[in-house]
Amino acid sequence: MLPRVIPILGIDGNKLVKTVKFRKPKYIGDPLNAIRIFNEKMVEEIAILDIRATVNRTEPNYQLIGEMAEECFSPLAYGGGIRTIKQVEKIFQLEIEKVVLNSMAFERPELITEISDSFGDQSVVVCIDIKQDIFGRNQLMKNSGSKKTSYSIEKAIDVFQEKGVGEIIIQDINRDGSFQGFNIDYIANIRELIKVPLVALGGCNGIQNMNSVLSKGANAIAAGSLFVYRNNNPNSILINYPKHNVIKNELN
Amino acid sequence: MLINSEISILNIGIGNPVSVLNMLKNIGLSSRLISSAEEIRTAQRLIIPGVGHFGKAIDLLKKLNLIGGIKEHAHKDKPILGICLGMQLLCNGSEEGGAEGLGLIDADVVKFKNLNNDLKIPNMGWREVNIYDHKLKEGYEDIPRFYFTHSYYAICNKLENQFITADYGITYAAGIAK
Repeated sequence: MLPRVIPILGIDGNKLVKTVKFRKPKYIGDPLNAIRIFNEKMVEEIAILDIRATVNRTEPNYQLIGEMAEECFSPLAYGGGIRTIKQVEKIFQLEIEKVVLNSMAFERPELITEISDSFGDQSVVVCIDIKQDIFGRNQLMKNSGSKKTSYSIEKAIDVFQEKGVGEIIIQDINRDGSFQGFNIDYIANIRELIKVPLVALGGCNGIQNMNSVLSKGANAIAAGSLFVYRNNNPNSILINYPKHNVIKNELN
Repeated sequence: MLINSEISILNIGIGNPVSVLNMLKNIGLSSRLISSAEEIRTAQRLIIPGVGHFGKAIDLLKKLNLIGGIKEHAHKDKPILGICLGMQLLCNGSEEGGAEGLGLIDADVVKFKNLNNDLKIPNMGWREVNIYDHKLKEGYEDIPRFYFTHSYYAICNKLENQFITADYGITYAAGIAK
């Protein structure tokens, strides 16, 4: 069974952006154009994450989400600024397959159940953002990494699964945009707790690194910088995605 | 003649009707979105798209008074294509919401259970499937791939209705033809 390889497209307003450690959003290009290129590259699925909607307390950018969904041939997930089931209904009407929660999963985990009961558990994803503080402790963060939560990773996984989450993304903020590789030890430590598909995100630098994290418990890999920069060089923008043969023959 | 007649896609606020419409347009077929019993009555070829919760979708079909129209369509031997949840709705019933289905296909929808640890639920991702000799096989590759994202699967009570099967711990019906 082939692992899933998921580009993460960060959006800020109508722009496609890429951050480093969740800071310094750099303009990458037009999100619709990016979708068209990923279509040509036969992308298998995509997640769009609005990195500003929660922080700015704005509504999801329905216009852009709808245009991206209409353009995209692959399954699409959307996250950012989601607070209510009404918003989720509106997003699914734009033909997004899954929604990704972060802040609200911590603030009101019942939203997970509401989505799961209306649209099925396969439709609701939680992204858990982890940041190491100066004492080396892993903190679970919300609001695009700007606020600490009171949750331990064990408690978060337990609560989200009990509420009916269909998939969990573990994102390492310190590794965002760094190309230093996934936080493999962290994934390995929590793999047993996670009963739903586990997606690793943050730091990916290539096929070998994907294989390492997959062998330590991730069921799928996601990456931002890897798929928008050429040869892991943040000065050179190039939308890219591995060919199906590469995924088939080199990933296991 | 059905060959050139329009395709109608059921659009009741769940699933992905516009994706289906766009894809049909891409391959040069015209279609329309419909949402009322009256429109179903005039439909020649009906597509029921998917994505959602079985029990909620059946409730919605009942509320919109569409169940009779869909059954009538089938009983007149006019074609129906159910995609994803749309396929499951045509079955006898589902463990998702414990609801009865349309009963047009003798199959039951049940939840994945007791899979080994490597097989997470929901099943998500592109999977290769087995496709059997059938008139609908034309145009498919030998080992086609489809995107799966589901916790519930259909089991056909009549094996001859199974046209595509997939494996995820067990073998189940991913394509049903009748």
